[in-house]
Amino acid sequence: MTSDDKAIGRVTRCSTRGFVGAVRLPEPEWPVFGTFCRAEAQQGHSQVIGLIYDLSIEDDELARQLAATESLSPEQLADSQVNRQVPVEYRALAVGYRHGERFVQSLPPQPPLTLAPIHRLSDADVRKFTAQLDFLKLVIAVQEIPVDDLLAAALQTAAAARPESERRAYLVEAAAECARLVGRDLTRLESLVRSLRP
Amino acid sequence: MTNKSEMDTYFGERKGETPLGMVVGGSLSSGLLVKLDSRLSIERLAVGRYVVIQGKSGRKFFGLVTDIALDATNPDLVRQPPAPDDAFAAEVYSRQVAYGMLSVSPMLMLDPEDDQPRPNKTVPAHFAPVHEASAEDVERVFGAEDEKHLFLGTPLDMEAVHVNLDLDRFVERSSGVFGKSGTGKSFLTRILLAGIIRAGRASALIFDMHNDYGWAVKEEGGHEVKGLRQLFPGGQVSVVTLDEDTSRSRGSKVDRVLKIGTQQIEPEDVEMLSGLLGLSDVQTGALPFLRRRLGPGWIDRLLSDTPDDELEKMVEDERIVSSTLGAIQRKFEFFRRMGFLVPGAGDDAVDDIFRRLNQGSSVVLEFGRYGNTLAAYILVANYLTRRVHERYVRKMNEAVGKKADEPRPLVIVIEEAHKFLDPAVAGHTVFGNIARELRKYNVTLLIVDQRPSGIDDEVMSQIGTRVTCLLDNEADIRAVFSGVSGAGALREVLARLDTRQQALILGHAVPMPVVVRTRDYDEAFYQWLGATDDAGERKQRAKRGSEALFGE
Amino acid sequence: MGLNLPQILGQLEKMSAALAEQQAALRRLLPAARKAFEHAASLTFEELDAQVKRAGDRYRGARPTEEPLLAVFEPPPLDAGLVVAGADGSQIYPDRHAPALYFAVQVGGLAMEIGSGLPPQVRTQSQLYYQQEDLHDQQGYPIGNAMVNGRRDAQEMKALADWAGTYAGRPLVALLDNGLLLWFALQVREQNQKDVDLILQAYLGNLDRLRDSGGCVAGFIDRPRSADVLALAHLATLPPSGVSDEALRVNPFRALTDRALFEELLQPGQRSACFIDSSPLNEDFRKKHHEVLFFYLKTDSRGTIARVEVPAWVAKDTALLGCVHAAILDQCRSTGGFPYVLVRAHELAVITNEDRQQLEGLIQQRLLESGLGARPSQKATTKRWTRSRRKHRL
Ligand SMILES: Nc1ncnc2c1ncn2[C@@H]1O[C@H](COP(=O)(O)OP(=O)(O)OP(=O)(O)O)[C@@H](O)[C@H]1O
Ligand SMILES: [Mg+2]
Repeated sequence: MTSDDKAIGRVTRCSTRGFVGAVRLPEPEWPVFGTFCRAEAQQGHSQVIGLIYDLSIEDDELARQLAATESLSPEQLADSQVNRQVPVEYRALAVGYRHGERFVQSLPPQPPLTLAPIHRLSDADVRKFTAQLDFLKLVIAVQEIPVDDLLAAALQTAAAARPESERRAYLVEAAAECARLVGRDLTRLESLVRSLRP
Repeated sequence: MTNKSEMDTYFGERKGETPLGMVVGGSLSSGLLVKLDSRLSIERLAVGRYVVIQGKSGRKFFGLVTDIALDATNPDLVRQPPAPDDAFAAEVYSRQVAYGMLSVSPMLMLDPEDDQPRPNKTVPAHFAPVHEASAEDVERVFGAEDEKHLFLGTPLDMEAVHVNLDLDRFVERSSGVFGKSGTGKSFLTRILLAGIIRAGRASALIFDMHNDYGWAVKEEGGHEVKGLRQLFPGGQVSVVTLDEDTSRSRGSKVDRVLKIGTQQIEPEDVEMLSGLLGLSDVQTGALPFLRRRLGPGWIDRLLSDTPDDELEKMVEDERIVSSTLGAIQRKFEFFRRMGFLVPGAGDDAVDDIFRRLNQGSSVVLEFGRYGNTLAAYILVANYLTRRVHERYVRKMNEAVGKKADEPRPLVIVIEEAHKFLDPAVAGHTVFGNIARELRKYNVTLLIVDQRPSGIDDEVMSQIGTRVTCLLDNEADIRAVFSGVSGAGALREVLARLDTRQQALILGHAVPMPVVVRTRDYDEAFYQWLGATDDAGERKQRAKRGSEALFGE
Repeated sequence: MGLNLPQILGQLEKMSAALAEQQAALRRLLPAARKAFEHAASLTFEELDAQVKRAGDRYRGARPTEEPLLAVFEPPPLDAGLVVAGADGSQIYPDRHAPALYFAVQVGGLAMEIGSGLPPQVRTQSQLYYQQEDLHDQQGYPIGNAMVNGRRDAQEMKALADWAGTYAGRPLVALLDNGLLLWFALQVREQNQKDVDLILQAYLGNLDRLRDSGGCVAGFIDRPRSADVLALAHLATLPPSGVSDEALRVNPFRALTDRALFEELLQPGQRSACFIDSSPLNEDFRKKHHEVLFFYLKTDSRGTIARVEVPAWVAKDTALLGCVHAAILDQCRSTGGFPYVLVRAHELAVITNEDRQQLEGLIQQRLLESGLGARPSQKATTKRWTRSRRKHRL
């Protein structure tokens, strides 16, 4: 994961529960499922922390045109897949916000500003934010999204932001918190724990 | 807060120490449920250990771990455990889903303003943190060893801590030492008696069925340990024997030989034996009549080979059925085999024993070979106890109000106590009375028994202090706890004692139930009693000469 | 406020009627134009050339080459291992309402190794111009958009020359999304002789580099509107004595384009003969051995006609010319008549309105940080207000 400050898009739609970001980027730079990101809110007084859970490639005329031709060369195909700045839209779940230096793990008081730039959270901030595990509760409460896959991806991201020596302990603790939250459903817990294995 | 610091001096500082867990439920009667901290290994814990619970109000609670269990937030976990080779999942589950539970019996509580813990009257609030009791905590509860406190053993895993028994309270009421055969009852009783004698708190009359108390006792391992007479060479202990030959051949010092005149035996002394002798109710019922008609020599006359007119007349007059009389005569043949019974009026043995006891000397009555005959044991114990007790009652009544004139407190030690105290006879035997009348006449029992379930419930419930080695029979365990509140929780503790030299002490003489490893009955113990250098040994050593002085 | 659609709708109907009328008129003209072209083709090169010379400097039509006018050429097979590069540029014009005066040029390019299966290499080059001498002409007036276009075109050619450098020694066709002649030079030469010359020389220098590294170059013009060949056809119809400025001007085919003519003459994939562009600017190019020639090409089966411009050193080399021909056709196959590398170069180069806003935000922030009060003009600010209000409603 890089901690560079390059924006990964802008907010196009939002509510306090999450936001939608859009960007044109070549595939290697797309944000990935389970990425922590931030977007300004409250005139820059706070930042909403989002967890990216859905990426979609927007309709693109060239891609459509290319898809329709029979004579697409391998180089063109590779170009589309590697180089092209495809319009990407992604949804982020609000899992907290930052107020000054402090991270709070609950729904933000206000949604981010429209067109606010969205940035990846730096590794240091990911560590800081994920030191608390209250955000898991927010994720688990969400319906109709692949919550467990998202938890796994987010926690693996959070573990990866830590030094090698701390990762296992972190994942154990996080998985235990998941166990507390979904302990009623052992089948679900079992697969969740499996996906959190270091 | 000054209160707080006082408390900390009592139960020790707790800061920074990880609690074992927290209280999540339970009740005063059934005990507390403590959820174990997931970071601790359940395998480190053991029943019988102490915990200190920090209540919300500042009150501290002292409790005993009585059970350890595995539990899970989801009952389905037993059917759906993580894969056996998945160490990660196991670690995760054991943080949250699966956890250990402790059952803790609350025992004592300490209010911030108090300096002595008191018996528990309530329970700590939900989620109160539970800590393992430190050695200092336990030590404070059991007080210091002093004149009236006997160091009996050490709590499990706390070798430095002494569990001290309050001897005054111990003899104040009847007590019991229970346990399966070979668990150390006799050794424990010897330690208790040595403690009582040393402290001079009471005299003991010991019916020593198996020659366990007086002199040179053979240990299971084969080597000898000292008897009470050896440990107290200064006259605090007398040995009275029924079987002089055996005692002498064992090298036992004998202070007196007990002979009982047949004329001294009353029908009441025989009644206790009816079961053992096979006397029917009719036959037993006939004894007082025979005594009345035949006079003090009734036994001699019944056993006499020469025809007795009076007896014939009684049969003729149909005062007694001849078959009944015949049966009694036949069954009384038993008395002939008892060498300690002598025809005639006998001597002043009872007075002598009473005098010794009252002067502060404990009496070990050695049965010698008669120890193997239960009827002899019962006959003699019953005979002596009735008469000694009678004298105590008389003396007590004479002393009304004047403490100084009261007879010296007496502890009567009987083994195989259930033979004297089984529900069928306990109601009307002297032992039953002693147990029931508490310390009214300064006489209490110390019963040593391996089958407490055979003892009458009412008697059991009067036992003030119970020292219990391992028991595995359900009925026996139940009996030991009869009349003890919250005992259910202690059963697990009892059933898990080692087979030897471990005991659960509960009741009157200890502030709270405690499992101890009994102190060793060994050279160090003798030394503590100040009894290593008995005269005989000193002479022996002197003879060996000076070279040995350096060779040792 | 949005467009007043009810008002516009009425006008729209009239507009389509007029367009249909125009189309019909043009179609009626076409047979005559074709006849004139066939006539021109019947003349010898010498006759035609003599006629062109008679027309003199003011003649703006195509000049013939040795290839017969009616000749059509099938594409040769595509070289294996050919590299096709493309470049395109976009710009932010100077705006006196912006927080600071500047302009920017961004050129995107990519190079594709045909048959390799590898993703093409891509490059984007962005350049911010803010120095006083960049922003003002020799008379001290703010420069116009044409000057910006010139710099952009020059950057595009530089990008192509760079690709040729990267693949030096390998067969390479570099495509430009434009004609090869640097048009801005004609527009602004007067005001800014020095800068224009500098840019032009740099442009021609890059053409040298391209040629010297073994590549070839072509400008691709989609939907060409030129009528150079029709002008030649018209010229051919004039009697030698009747060639005058006046006669040249009354060209009956004026409303038509060469495209309409070649739609009829070419089969898919075929190219026309080469012609020489008679723009006065071509003289500068010719002097540097880069005289620009062009041909028409039917890029696909739907009949799309493109105009392809090449320098003389490509046109004169059958192999190179064939290579350009084949490469363009190959590029157009998947995209419906427009070279793929140019579609992508455009995509890489384009500066969106949003990018521009972001850039201006950044400029403003930097200037503020360095203590320079930079504010957009009030007009720009009010524009932004209304614009952002519309955005919110989206
Ligand atoms: N406190 C002790 N110090 C040393 N040895 C002990 C102690 N307690 C028990 N033992 C060992 O255990 C053996 C059995 O003890 P003991 O004879 O007292 O058992 P018991 O319960 O009286 O058995 P029984 O019912 O058969 O009389 C002893 O021979 C001795 O070896
Ligand atoms: Mg014994």
